[in-house]
Amino acid sequence: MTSGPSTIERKDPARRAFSALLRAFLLIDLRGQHYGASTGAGAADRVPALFWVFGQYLTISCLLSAAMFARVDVWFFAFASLSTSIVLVMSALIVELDEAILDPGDRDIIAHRPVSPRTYAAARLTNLLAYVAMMSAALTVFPTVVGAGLADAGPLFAPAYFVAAIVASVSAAGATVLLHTLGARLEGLRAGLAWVQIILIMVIFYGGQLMLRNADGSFELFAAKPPEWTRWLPSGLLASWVAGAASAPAKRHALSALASVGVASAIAAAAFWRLGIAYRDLHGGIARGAGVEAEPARAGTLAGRLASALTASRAEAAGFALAARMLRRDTDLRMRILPSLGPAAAAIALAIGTRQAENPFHASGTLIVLPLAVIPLLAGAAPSALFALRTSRSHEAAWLLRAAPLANRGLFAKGARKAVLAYVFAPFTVIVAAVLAVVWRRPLDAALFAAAAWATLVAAASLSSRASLGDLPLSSPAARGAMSGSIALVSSVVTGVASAAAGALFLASGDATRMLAATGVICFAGLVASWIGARRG
Amino acid sequence: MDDVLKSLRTPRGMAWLFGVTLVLALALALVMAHSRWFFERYVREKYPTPSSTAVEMVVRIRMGNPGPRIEERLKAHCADAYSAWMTADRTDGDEPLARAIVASDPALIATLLEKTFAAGSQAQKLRAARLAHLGAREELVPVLEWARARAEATRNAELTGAIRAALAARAAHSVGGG
Repeated sequence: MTSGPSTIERKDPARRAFSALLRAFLLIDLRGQHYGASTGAGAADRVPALFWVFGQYLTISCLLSAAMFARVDVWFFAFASLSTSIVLVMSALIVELDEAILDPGDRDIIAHRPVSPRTYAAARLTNLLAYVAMMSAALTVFPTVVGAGLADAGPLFAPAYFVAAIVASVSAAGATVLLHTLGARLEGLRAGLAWVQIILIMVIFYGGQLMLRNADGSFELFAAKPPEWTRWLPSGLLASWVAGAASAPAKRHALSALASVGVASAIAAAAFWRLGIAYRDLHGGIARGAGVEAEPARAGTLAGRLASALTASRAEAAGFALAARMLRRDTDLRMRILPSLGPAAAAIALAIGTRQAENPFHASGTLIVLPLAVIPLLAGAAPSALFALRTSRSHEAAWLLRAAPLANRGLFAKGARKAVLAYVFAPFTVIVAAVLAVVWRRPLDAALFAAAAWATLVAAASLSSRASLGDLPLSSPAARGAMSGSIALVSSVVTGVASAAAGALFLASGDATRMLAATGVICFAGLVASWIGARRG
Repeated sequence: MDDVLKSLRTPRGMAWLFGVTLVLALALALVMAHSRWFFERYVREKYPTPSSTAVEMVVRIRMGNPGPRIEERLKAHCADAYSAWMTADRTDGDEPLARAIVASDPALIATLLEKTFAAGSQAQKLRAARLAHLGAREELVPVLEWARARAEATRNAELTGAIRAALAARAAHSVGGG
């Protein structure tokens, strides 16, 4: 008996390339170490790191379903679950599995092989859909089944939600691919997108906690009467369809389902088309991010007036200038730093959204807790942001820094730290102050509050600089998942210590004079702590 | 056992691992879906302890000795009086008390009722419906209509009946010139 050609050999070359590429991509995903640092799974472990992420997604959807079960109606249950799915799918694709969409490194391995852009795009998209299917399964199983047990859910809830979840996940993945491929020309869009998703995640996280802990039923009321604009969000529209189909199914619901599937298919098709174009660019050697155009040198000082004003030595100015330039140039660096502001931004958004943003200079009680929480959350963000500044897309060029005649690397790191404070935290603090000034209608109170927050933040950055930033910024490669590793402990400690400042303001709240005194003490303590940190560093 | 562990390194083994986890999650989800009674035990609204002044006024109204301008005086303690109503373990004198509480600040009571209908337990919702029934004010009708729609959607016959009775009482009160 002679053996004939194997299945893969009988296929035409394009299909063969597709099968081989897809198998390789799936294996890389399943055995990849992107999540190694955050899950603690090593390359030699039998259970892959991705499995623990799968478990995390199951846990998130389980907890969310449990938190909402018997408390909210079908619409809000579907809306919150679908929103979470969309945010997490986009978050995973953008932040953690960037390479799953289009890896510039693929060019080195397959560019010389006869793989057409269409074949590459098809394999990448199928790989992406398999990954999205895995995540969606983890995010869908609990809401689909638990939601069917809601008092106002009809027998069609489970199938309706299942279809809506598939539509949401495929659309989210397709939209992410589209944005990512456009991101080559619109770099800033990626950072903005990371902002939106992080804020949403934090709002969901804090919202869930408040829903369970608050004593007056505000969140249940919010869920029962959500703002009208939420109904016009993609997840809101899908939830309306799920709620309608689950309670009183009609022909129009079937038509809506078909329309939703059509939209999702169109987005996926557009993503496929863009991916093919992006790969063709990649194939042609126009690797995205591979080359960075040198900016023309400016006459005058190395770092400009701001650096001169904020730094006290040439080493500091050099650190400031390099960090400032990398913050402008390196999108990945920005995407790692900006999310650290998410908790503070979420606290402000939640405070305003739930009308818990009272002015502590004139009010006290639980309604000032969220605004005050900004202080420790912002301070806790400093170690994370500085830790992210250790990494850089151009980390291999760090030998230049190592070889540079720097008498004191600590001063260089200090300059880099000041750049992060000046370009990331200062604008954010000003925005917080402006928002609170509008909400409180008392600009002076908002300015004093922002001063206390800034003093705490600067002290936190100064004291944690050695542990978080080290003495040679921008010299390490980015390790995926590392942001939730060792630095999380430092951030937690800093947040805990900074909570004392918020606690002091809480105790002084309700009386403008006491608040003024407390703000002064915090600013003074911040200055002293910064001075101690500077001497240690 | 070794073979099973080794198979986890293969795509098929990993698919098996993910599949088994998903089946276990499905089983847990089914248990949760059939345990709504368990989750409902933890759904209840918490009320602040009413002030002593409010408690004193509530007791006097229940005893039929409210004193002059009770609605005016109760207005400053309306939320506390609502808490006292919701946490009361007695029903004697409910009718004059409900009328006084609702009349003291109908808009605030409507807001508090809305919260209770959204976040309260079944017993709390029924108590809130009783307040609306006995209070019988026009300002409460929109909240009652909204709560009735929710109760009907959740097939809560007992609550639906209580809210309908409250709406009917208000209608009768209107016809009677109240």
